[in-house]
Amino acid sequence: MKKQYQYTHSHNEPVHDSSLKHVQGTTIYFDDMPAIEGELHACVVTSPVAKGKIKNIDISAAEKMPGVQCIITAKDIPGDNQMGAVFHDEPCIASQRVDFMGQTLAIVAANSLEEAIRAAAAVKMDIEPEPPILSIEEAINQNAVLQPQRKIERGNVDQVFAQCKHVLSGRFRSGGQEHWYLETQICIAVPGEDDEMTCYCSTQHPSESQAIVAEVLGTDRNRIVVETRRLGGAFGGKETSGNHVAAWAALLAAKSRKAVRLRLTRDTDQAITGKRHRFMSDWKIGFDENGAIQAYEVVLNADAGYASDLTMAILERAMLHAENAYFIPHIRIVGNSWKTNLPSNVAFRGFGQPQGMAVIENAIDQIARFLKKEPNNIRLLNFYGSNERNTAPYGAEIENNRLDSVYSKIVNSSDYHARRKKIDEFNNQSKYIKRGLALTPVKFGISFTTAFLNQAGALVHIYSDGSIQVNHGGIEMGQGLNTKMLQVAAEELGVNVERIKVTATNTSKIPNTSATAASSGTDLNGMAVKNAIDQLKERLKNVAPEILGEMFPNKTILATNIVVENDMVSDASQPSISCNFDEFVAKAYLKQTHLSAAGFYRTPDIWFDRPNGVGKPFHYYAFAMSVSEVEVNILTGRAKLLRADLIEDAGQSINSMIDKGQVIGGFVQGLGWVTTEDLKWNKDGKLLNASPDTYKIPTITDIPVELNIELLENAPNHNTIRRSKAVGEPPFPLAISAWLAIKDAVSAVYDHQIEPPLSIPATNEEIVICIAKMK
Amino acid sequence: MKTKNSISFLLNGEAVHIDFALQNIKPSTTVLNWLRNYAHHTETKEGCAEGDCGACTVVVAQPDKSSQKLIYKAVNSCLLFLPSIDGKLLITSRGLAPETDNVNILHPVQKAIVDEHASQCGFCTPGFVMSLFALYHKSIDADDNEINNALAGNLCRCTGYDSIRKAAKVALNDRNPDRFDQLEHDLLKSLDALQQNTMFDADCQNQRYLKPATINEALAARAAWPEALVVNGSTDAALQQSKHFKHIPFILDISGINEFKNFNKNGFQIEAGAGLSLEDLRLEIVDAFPALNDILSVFASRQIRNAATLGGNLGSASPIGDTTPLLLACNASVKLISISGSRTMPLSEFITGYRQTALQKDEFIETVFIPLPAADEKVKMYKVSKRHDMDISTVSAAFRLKINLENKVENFAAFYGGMAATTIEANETKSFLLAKQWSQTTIEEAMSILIGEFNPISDARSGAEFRNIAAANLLQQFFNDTQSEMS
Ligand SMILES: Cc1cc2nc3c(=O)[nH]c(=O)nc-3n(C[C@H](O)[C@H](O)[C@H](O)COP(=O)(O)OP(=O)(O)OC[C@H]3O[C@@H](n4cnc5c(N)ncnc54)[C@H](O)[C@@H]3O)c2cc1C
Ligand code: FES
Ligand code: FES
Repeated sequence: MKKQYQYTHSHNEPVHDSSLKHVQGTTIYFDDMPAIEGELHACVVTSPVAKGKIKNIDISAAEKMPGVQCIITAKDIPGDNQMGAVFHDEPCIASQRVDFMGQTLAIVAANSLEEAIRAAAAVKMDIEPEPPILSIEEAINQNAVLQPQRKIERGNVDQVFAQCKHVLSGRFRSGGQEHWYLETQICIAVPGEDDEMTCYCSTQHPSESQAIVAEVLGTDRNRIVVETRRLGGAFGGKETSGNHVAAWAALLAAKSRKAVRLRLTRDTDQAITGKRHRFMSDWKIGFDENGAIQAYEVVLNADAGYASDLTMAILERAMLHAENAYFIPHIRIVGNSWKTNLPSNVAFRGFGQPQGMAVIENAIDQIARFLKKEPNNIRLLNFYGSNERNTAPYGAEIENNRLDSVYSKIVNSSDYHARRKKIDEFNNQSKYIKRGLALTPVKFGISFTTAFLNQAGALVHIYSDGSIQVNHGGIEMGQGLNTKMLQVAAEELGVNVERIKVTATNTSKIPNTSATAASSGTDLNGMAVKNAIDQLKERLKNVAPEILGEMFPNKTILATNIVVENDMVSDASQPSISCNFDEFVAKAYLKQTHLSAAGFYRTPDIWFDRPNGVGKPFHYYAFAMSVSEVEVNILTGRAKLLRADLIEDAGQSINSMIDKGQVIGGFVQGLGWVTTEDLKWNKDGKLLNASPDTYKIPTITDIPVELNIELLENAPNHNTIRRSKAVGEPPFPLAISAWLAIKDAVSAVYDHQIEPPLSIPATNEEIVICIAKMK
Repeated sequence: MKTKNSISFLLNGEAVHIDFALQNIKPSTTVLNWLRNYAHHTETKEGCAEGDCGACTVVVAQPDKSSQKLIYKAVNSCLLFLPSIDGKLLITSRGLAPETDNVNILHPVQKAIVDEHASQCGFCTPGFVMSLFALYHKSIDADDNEINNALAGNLCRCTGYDSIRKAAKVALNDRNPDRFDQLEHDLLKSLDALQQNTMFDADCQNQRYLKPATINEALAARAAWPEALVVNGSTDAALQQSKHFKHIPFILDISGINEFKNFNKNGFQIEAGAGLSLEDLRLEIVDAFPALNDILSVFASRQIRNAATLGGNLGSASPIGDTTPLLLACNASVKLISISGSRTMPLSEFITGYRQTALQKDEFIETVFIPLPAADEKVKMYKVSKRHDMDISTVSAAFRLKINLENKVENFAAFYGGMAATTIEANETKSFLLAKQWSQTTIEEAMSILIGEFNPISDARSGAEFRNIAAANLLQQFFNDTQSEMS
């Protein structure tokens, strides 16, 4: 290798592999790619009504606008007019009818973005409006079912309810959430010969973007290349939503035969892309005088928006986490998906788990208030056991349960009991400022619940100069996946990270991949990289007796004794026999060794029988807990997080700094969901918070100065890459502790005598109105 | 009149000259779009193009009054028209250090972000780097509040900010002279060499853009072309273009007029130039007028305040403008100036309706006179917004109170933002309160009046019900604060 690359470590861990470029601004995001000669800029023409019949789309005036090169409506699509990820119920461009405000009716490419936008405004749309469905209640009233109901059930729920000492019930709501990745959706589509099309697009799922582009263009996948180097944030928002932008850009590029850049402006992105699913859940819980839960029934109603997208998988995850960390002997979990005239809701970090879990956490809080007990005692009493009381409602065993150990750790480290006392004293003295405290446990199942998706590929090349290129099917979107892959590759092969380059993800290198989602990026791709490296190592070992034998004549060298360590290939039984990696590889090449390997991995032993709601849908569980303390000004509704303690079980962390970053980042994103991130629509179905002016994600002042985070120590996982655990999503629902702490503070207004009717998000408005309702 | 149709500035120290007609660049091209699309400086990112995310943050530096020192300010390049940086030093994240893969060569704020693992997707990072760089040049040891205040205008969706805050502390803790300190003398010299005192007048791509260099040029231009859109900080005006993609045919940019940036203060009143940036104003009045500092501290972000002006805030006459309630409660007045003279009128008369003012077509706001509260008066302003920082008011209220020795209300004023089409006074509540005991009982009765006094709308920010309750609750909050101050 010629160049001495530097690789920075800090706090004993390698830093993110792009971090030096991040701070200088030299990282290349899609829109930073230089324009291709003749490149066009594109935008979408969207529906101004939420529901109706399309009578006519007139593009004649728009076509004559300055700079316009190409306008496409549904009838111009050469292939299938569809881009649904699972169920094919989402048109690429609406043709007969519109089902949400912001649905695409035409796409425009022009010489500049301004010209495209002006031309878009000149497209005339004649749509006969119909009354839209804008709430889950309305969808239920009109029986607007998306997909058939699903159910998971164990025990004799109805019978046990009849015998329970206490039964509480209620309706719980949690709101949607806009992803607000910093980089908006974008695709640059570049046409080639023979129907070839290369798409540089913001996607967490290149293979699916490739498939959808092929389908709308009416061609085969072998002609479509999707390449994604990095995303400026995604969080689930680019798992399927990126496909749309890719399909639109590709259609324009195919028709105009020019490169097309389609980047959604922030306001358009917010207005037309799907969000986290709103849920409205009806629950009923039966328990004894100690708070031991005997029966739980919950009907989870998800607002799917107008089409299926991943709603059923999201609902499924909500159902599979409806009991959270608690063993409930008799339980019925029902999942309904409802169609509304809003953009089809999509994946968002947690993928339904936070929505499902919030319901039972609220119910437990209510039990505690009802029994006048410390909520933690109720939680502790109902936690899954280790050897008994450890089967989930769907029949799987909760293996390696770490709830008790995490609980005792966090109760101590957060000084929970002493602070609870102090807070009670504070609240007795203070009329308008109230404090609240809450602990939230999380048990998060890791794997795609659609079993076949748990597969991944990798492609590792060793070049004859000793430098190594690692390709895998995962997407780097900030979570540090490439850094971890670099570490895995270096450690598994026994070389330094400096000689490895992880490249852009490309469908021609790794085909048929799954989305980088479900927190599985490292688990799956890490194993695939390891698999490729194992093959390469084997080949190096096999050629070693020949190479080393020539270098050290008269020695007997056995392939089984060869090790690769610290950039050296050596005979472990004869330490003097050793060759540096560069030289060894150069010789291996001359000996005609195959220095490239494709790796593959599939997660073993997972299955889920949907119709019967039983199975082992997860490879393992990640555990986490948080304690949050808040202060609420009951006059203005301002809630301030004073302190948060977070403990995450990341197994044997591959990079503890990256993992901690995921935990805090996930927690703060969750904090936004439970506090300030509020979506409101007007009666016509227009999203009122379709810009950062009115949609408020947390800023630096919203996080407490005292934020303690710990990764569980000495907790290696079984049967995963380097004994680590997934860490992307489990921290998100930790923020429910902040919401429960707000509820606790609100409850203190009437000395915990009245149950606060608080929903998610607890905005200042929600808090003040909630207090008014308690009067 | 001598004019020019080009601008000159330093980009990361290198001289740049833009001749708009020659290069066929629209004069109101934002600094962000120029950097990205013309100058291949893609390190500056667009996250929203409306001032809300800070991804586009750059630093603009210029000499202080003594011309001996550079003042560094972080601003949102997405809302900055190119001519406004004429004669200044524009700094981006690529200008802080030579391009390197060695962490030790980076600027200390960059190095700290790397060392603290404070970037994930990295899209927000250049913006944070620039906000931190400005802070690096402002504060010796910034506390948590100062760090928060400097970074509240930068959104990050990945990190949860903790690592960024740690990086800020590390970088600011050990502040050594950086490249810019070392080059300061040369930079001042280079800036001095750039011609700035000529009026800028460009007509290109169907847009006329005037940026007078003197007050007389400005007054003459205003009289001659009343149809031109007046801009100063352009944080409000630029949205028409960046967010709404509207073409602005004629712009009169008054950000270069020093006469609009005066500041004077005596024991009785503040005289603030309408062109003074809100952050400069805030720094001037921190001690003299705490209520104004309170509201300015939660006004948008530091980047916005570095550009936005008081004249722009009053000139846009928004019902949710944050300075208006306080200025009205303090009986502020405005001095308007035109080519034919000047006049001064109470602010209450200046604002005539929803986004309407008494400004004549040839006038500018020149100065705002703000009487300071007397020693026996209590003045406070509150802002209720969904998010604490970087948010527009849902409801805001400014109170002024004088009680006599018998604890009776002698004088009272309450002005609300967000409750009507203009900032509005709580007249019924006021008449009720006058001469009453300043007590909890009185307040409760007053609140029951207040809660029905206005007829606010429901919108993206909140429903009308919350606005009404919050409006009443703010009176309680004010009462509580007066009590705790007295005790
Ligand atoms: C992200 C963001 C956040 C914001 N947050 C807040 C907030 O928290 N609170 C708030 O109140 N506002 C807020 N604003 C609105 C805006 O920043 C302020 O109103 C600001 O004070 C405008 O000042 P400017 O100099 O930038 O105005 P410009 O955009 O330059 O001008 C605005 C208007 O005022 C007129 N004008 C300007 N100066 C004069 C003058 N000297 N004489 C006559 N007319 C003049 C112009 O003709 C124009 O119509 C925010 C804006 C953005 C983009
Ligand atoms: S791009 Fe978001 S503030 Fe400028
Ligand atoms: S690192 Fe991704 S937004 Fe900040």
